Amino acid sequence: MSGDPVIDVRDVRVQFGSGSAALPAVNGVSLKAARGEILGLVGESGSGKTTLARAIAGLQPTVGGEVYVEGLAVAGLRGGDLRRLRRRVQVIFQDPHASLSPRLKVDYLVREPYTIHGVAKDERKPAEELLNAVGLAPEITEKYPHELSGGQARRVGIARALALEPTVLVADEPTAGLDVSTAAGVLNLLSDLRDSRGLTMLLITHDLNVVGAVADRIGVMYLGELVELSTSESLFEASRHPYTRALLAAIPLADPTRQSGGIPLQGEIPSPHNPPPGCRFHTRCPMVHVDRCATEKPALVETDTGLAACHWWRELAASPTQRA
Amino acid sequence: MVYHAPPLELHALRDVTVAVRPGEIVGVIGESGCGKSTLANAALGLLPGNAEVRNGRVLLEGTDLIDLDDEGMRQIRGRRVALIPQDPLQSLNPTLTVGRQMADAVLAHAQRRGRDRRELQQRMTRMLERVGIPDAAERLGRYPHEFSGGMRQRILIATALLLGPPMLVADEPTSALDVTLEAQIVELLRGLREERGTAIMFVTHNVGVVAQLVDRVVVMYAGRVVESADVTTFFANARHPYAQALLGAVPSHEHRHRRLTTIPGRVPSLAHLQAGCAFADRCPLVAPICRTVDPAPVTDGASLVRCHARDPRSGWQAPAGAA
Repeated sequence: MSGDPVIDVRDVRVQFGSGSAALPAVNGVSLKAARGEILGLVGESGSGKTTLARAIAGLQPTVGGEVYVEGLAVAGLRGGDLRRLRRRVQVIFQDPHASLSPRLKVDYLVREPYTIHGVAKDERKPAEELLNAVGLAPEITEKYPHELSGGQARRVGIARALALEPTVLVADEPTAGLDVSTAAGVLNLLSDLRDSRGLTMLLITHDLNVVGAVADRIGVMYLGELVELSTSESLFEASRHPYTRALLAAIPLADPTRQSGGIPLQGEIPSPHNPPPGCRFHTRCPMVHVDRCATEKPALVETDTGLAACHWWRELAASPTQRA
Repeated sequence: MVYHAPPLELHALRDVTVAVRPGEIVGVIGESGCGKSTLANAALGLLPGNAEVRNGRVLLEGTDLIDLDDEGMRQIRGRRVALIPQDPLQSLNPTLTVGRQMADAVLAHAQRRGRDRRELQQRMTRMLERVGIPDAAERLGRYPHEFSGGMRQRILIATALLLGPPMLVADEPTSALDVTLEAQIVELLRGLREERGTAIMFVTHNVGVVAQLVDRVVVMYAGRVVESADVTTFFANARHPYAQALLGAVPSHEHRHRRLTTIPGRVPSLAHLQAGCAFADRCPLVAPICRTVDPAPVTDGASLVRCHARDPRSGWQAPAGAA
């Protein structure tokens, strides 16, 4: 990593609703991403990863902390300033068919951001060029969204996001619902775009195989908090958090001669309305020491491999990762 | 098997033979549009009205489902074969309690009505507990929205098991779930097979789940079985170029410095199948014979592959420059 971070998130909080019914979705998360870095965010449904990404894109108001994109504070931006941020941070939404208007042709859809942002005519790129950058043939400009395959629709979404030449691309489950070969093509494309354009990417997914294949660093979220952050290699080979290890152990290995690791994590993520005291993960943790974990909340501290929020990370450092 | 979609005919299943033995788990993989779900529906006698079986049979413990009328099918479904669906929320009625829906599933297929309600209640409770739902007796009175996605999938599995069918058909049962819940469901299915000897046809696009759960793998492409082998043989030595490409496309941190394999092009339309092998246009090994002659199945012990390149009789000649 070099230079100032492109994304700088400091102790960000997001909640839905207010008063006693408020649901804290993101509870004090800090992280940074450098130019040209692919940062993966993983966690189960309800961990707050999508909400955090939306906050970074300026799509979700925060109730605390700061978000900077290229040094520009995102919170409180309005009108023209917010539009300028949106040009820098583009989002690829989860369901491509739901995010492309069914009545418009691809030709219009990929260039629609120019209209929305009032880009001068001579700065607009032809649709064919935008589509070519994501590996789509020019013939596709005449099609409507329902005529596209899942993979093509996803690529149109990416082409549209790239029209404004953003510096940050937020991809929320970019491979969900795609066949494995199509998903592989989308992941290859995202890697290529990072390499050719130096894009900073935030890749949100619950599929650890996906982030493992393309992300440089990975943040793991649990109940609205970051519990581990390290390079992909370290995370897979030397995780310092039992939740991460449980997620890794749950990945079904594409090799019948190797058993996926041990007992899968029991139960489900608790309600954020009523998070467990102490360490939020202690109710499901296989290495819980109740006297400490249920009372004292572990801070996110520097470990030998990255950052982790576990009282017992040194013990984990002494034991091999569950996966071979 | 053909779907009528005037003016087209979609050849959704072409000459497909798949056997699931008692206690066996067979995984069916392939891209969307390859006929996986059609095969699953055929095994359940659930083909829609525009489906026509031109020839062939669907035998369940010796009974040909094709010959059965609606009433006959009703006797079979639930009792002898049951479905675990893909989307747990869409498969449960939001306005009825879980207990009511489970009881309805039993009563719809029961031979005589008016069974002992208490006995049924106890059976439902036991089954929910078996699939890992605590406080089951109390939760029978709850509505679907009061359960998480993973719990709803467990409810559907419990419902499928209520009448003790020897065969389950699971259509992408974990694709809506987090990896932790997916692992729990896979563990549950494995346990149920062990203790009850339930045979399972498991349709999925998740190659990892296939490797961890099934005994035999069936790869479908454009309505055909292009490869079938026991799971260890398949993962050690997949032979059909399509099967090899599917395995190469699985992302993993272990291969983070290589590009993922992609398969160019798309699954062909089942309405406009060309002569020869349906995979020819996307195949790295394509040779002239592939465009004219449909490859016949080659069997080697328990495994089967349909590919000229793997058939010593075909006289297949790799085009210059091919791998």
